Amino acid sequence: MPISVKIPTPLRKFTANKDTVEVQGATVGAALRDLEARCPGLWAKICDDDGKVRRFINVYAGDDDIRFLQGLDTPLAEGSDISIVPAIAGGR
Amino acid sequence: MRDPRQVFDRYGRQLLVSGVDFAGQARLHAFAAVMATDASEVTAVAAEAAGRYLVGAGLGRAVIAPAAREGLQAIDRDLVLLDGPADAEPPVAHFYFAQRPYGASVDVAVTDSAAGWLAGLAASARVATLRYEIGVPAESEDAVTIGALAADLLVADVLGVEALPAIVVCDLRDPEAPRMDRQPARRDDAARPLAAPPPGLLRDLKQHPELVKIVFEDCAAHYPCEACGLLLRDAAGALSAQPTQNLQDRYHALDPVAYPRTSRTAYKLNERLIARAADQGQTLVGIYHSHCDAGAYFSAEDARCAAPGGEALYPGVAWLVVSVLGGTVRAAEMFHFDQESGDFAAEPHP
Repeated sequence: MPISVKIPTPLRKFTANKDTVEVQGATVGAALRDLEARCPGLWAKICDDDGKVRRFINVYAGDDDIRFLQGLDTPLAEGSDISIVPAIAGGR
Repeated sequence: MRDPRQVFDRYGRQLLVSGVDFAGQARLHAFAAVMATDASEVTAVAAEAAGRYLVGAGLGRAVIAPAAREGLQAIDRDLVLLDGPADAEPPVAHFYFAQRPYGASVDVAVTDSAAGWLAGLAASARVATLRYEIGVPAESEDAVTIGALAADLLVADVLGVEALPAIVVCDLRDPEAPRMDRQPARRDDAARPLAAPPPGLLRDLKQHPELVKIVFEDCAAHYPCEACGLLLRDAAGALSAQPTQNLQDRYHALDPVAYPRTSRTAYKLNERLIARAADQGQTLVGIYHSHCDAGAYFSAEDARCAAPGGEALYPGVAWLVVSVLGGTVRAAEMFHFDQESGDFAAEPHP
């Protein structure tokens, strides 16, 4: 099942500057592992050593942050797309 | 070397009060804090450019190395003296200064390593003579000057040496006393250690009071919680401001360990809005957020989120920070990522 993964500018050095990469996977985690196989080095930028999405990165399945779904176990429907988006956050 | 606490007692409260009286807002943040990567650099600061560095600190152009930043966060004090990592690039002096609402208590902390570093500086620094008398300036810009002066005084007194040439000479205890002119070299942007960003988004924004109004009203309306939003530019170059929902509480509720702060002291916006804006031909050029009961500085949390590891997540995007005190907008500053230093610098006001 082809999944389209959108890559943010700071991470395109891992994708030969491509803004979108087609991967395979039935879940977000599987899709990201396939992304790592195609573009080595990206997984560590997205997830920490415990396999959780890093705080400064958001992974969206469609319009939803996967933290509010089933995390990396979030199932992907036919034609789904994933967006990797750097967080915009801060505070005093 | 004198105990910095004594120095603060001598100057600190006096200067803090001066800032309140004159500006009526939280623009005065500098009560010292000096860090450096090595003694030779510190000597250079003292002998040549302390004033510029300290003016930079007053303007919020402090440069704090990532390792030092972590140390600062570990010490819950307003004033911290630390030395930086020996291998920092570029080698810069580091300042950290108090950023609390007026009326809050202020304490001073000096690490052991910084104490040794300061002692070395006292032995090697060659300084000019100077007499400081702090007065009540007439222009808001002078709050920055006084902040820098406060830091300068403290550093000089901690070192037990005379202060470097002054920026302003006036008399705090006598508001009617005549002011003397600044020394122009202190305001020389070209000589500052951290280059001031060129005029940019702040200048453009100030040409559109209606957009400033949108941003400020959004920030005031969300008090005592932080507001946030986007600054967008369309293909024709037209600027717009788009308030957005602060999602911080939603993330805090989901995972209070990963997101310990609430919207009272933090913000997180919906980044998907940027893609939606792009679909409509709009480009993200700036992000604004408010600090409630705190100054318009680029906080350690802001920097950590915007450029974790010193790498900007949104290169080229500017960051507008709005200070809201008691529900009223008091100040705003635009910050840009400085690629060379790996830190953020405030855009000069036009």
